[in-house]
Amino acid sequence: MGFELLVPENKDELFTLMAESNYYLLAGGTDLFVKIEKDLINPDRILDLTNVIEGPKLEDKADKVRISATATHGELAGSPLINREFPLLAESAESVGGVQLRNMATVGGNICNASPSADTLIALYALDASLKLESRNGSRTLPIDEFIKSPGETDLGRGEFLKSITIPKLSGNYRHFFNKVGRRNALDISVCSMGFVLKETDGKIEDIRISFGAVAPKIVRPDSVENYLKGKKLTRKVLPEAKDLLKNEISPISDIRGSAEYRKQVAVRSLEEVVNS
Amino acid sequence: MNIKVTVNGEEYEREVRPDRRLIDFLREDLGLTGVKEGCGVGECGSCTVLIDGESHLSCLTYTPQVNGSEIKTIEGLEEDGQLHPLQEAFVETGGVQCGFCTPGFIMVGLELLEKNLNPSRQEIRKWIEGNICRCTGYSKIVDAIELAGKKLREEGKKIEL
Ligand SMILES: Cc1cc2nc3c(=O)[nH]c(=O)nc-3n(C[C@H](O)[C@H](O)[C@H](O)COP(=O)(O)OP(=O)(O)OC[C@H]3O[C@@H](n4cnc5c(N)ncnc54)[C@H](O)[C@@H]3O)c2cc1C
Ligand code: FES
Ligand code: FES
Repeated sequence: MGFELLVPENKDELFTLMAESNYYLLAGGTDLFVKIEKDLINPDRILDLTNVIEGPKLEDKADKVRISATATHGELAGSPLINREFPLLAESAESVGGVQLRNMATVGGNICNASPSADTLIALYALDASLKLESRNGSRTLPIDEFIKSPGETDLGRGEFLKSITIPKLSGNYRHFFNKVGRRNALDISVCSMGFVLKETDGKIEDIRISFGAVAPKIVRPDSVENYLKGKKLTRKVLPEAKDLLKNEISPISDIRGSAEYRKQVAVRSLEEVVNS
Repeated sequence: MNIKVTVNGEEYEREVRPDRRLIDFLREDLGLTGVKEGCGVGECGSCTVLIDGESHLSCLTYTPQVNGSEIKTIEGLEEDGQLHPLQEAFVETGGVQCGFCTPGFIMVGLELLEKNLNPSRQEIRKWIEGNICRCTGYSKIVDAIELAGKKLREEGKKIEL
């Protein structure tokens, strides 16, 4: 125990501090401080990003929305813009923790923590979000799936931080669906979660994007299921094939929250719920 | 490090270690023992305080993060020896049994009533899902928040955080 917690006032200060020694970055602290409390990590220096990332939390651009990495789950869930453009994201943010936690926990922290059960990741994967990372040498942008490497591991380099998330707007009439299965509703890590956006034209699926959480080391976008469903009607008839395809795309583990077989069944069952919804 | 905070309307300037949790600062340095530690890892809500008008968990907050902020704890609610209407409502409905969870429920309940003095029971239940009570079975806590909203509405009062 015993760490320094510094609150740099701007990017320049942050980059200088980052260059000096090892560090952990801090946003809401709801993952980082729990890890410290449980003795999983033992940092010497923590750098608080709160003042570094300036500008509006949410920006409405013509064909996209930009979200600051330090936007909290409460801010996403309560935003009329997010509820209108990306109800899936609003719903997934609303499902995280309780009020106090949502006031603290940021979307950037949810992403960078890279948990396979992170709730906003479900929505960000389905919505084809891209991330902007910044360092003293400039910035780079990459799709969310390239950023997340494995549980707890990202492509974030030394001296870099996640600045913002950009999501292209969906045009036309989309439906969405979010499902999180856990042992209790509040404050639980899910056994399986699923997000999904869908656009139908003349009763046939024109665009469909599905994401599953907690059934593989990363969030899964089952391409084969999406491709199979495109152009078809969303009825019970497509279920057997879609379910088989899905089973091949996921590789859940068994842990204290549920067995691999149980998780597979929950995932398949979520797909059924979509058809019935 | 040196930090300045306003707690329950009073300004404090203190030298603290940067790894001092806000809950320890409030309880031990300022003597505000109404802030309770149940779990220490964000799961029970008993350590809830208001930071700049929003409920936060003081067990997952470190003192340097609140430099310059305004904090409110359960001790800051009474006025001239009179309980706050939400505190009164907890007494009236029997929403307090052992009382350990009560400050947390009251602080988070205040944030709800500040936004909406007429929440439905379902809205109240959803709002307090981050708080755990081992005694009351929750319904009397929901009653208390509902009753406080009703009284405040009838008296034409608002909650300011
Ligand atoms: C009681 C409880 C319930 C929870 N419930 C849920 C839940 O239902 N669903 C869910 O998905 N999660 C849940 N969580 C986990 C956690 O709250 C979320 O993952 C949250 O989004 C983390 O955000 P934060 O801002 O608190 O991150 P922090 O703890 O500050 O940071 C998390 C990690 O990300 C890094 N980081 C943060 N921001 C940046 C940035 N901008 N650039 C680079 N790196 C960064 C940090 O260095 C750290 O490694 C829960 C946690 C608790 C304690
Ligand atoms: S003590 Fe802070 S949430 Fe339990
Ligand atoms: S009254 Fe005892 S824990 Fe709630």
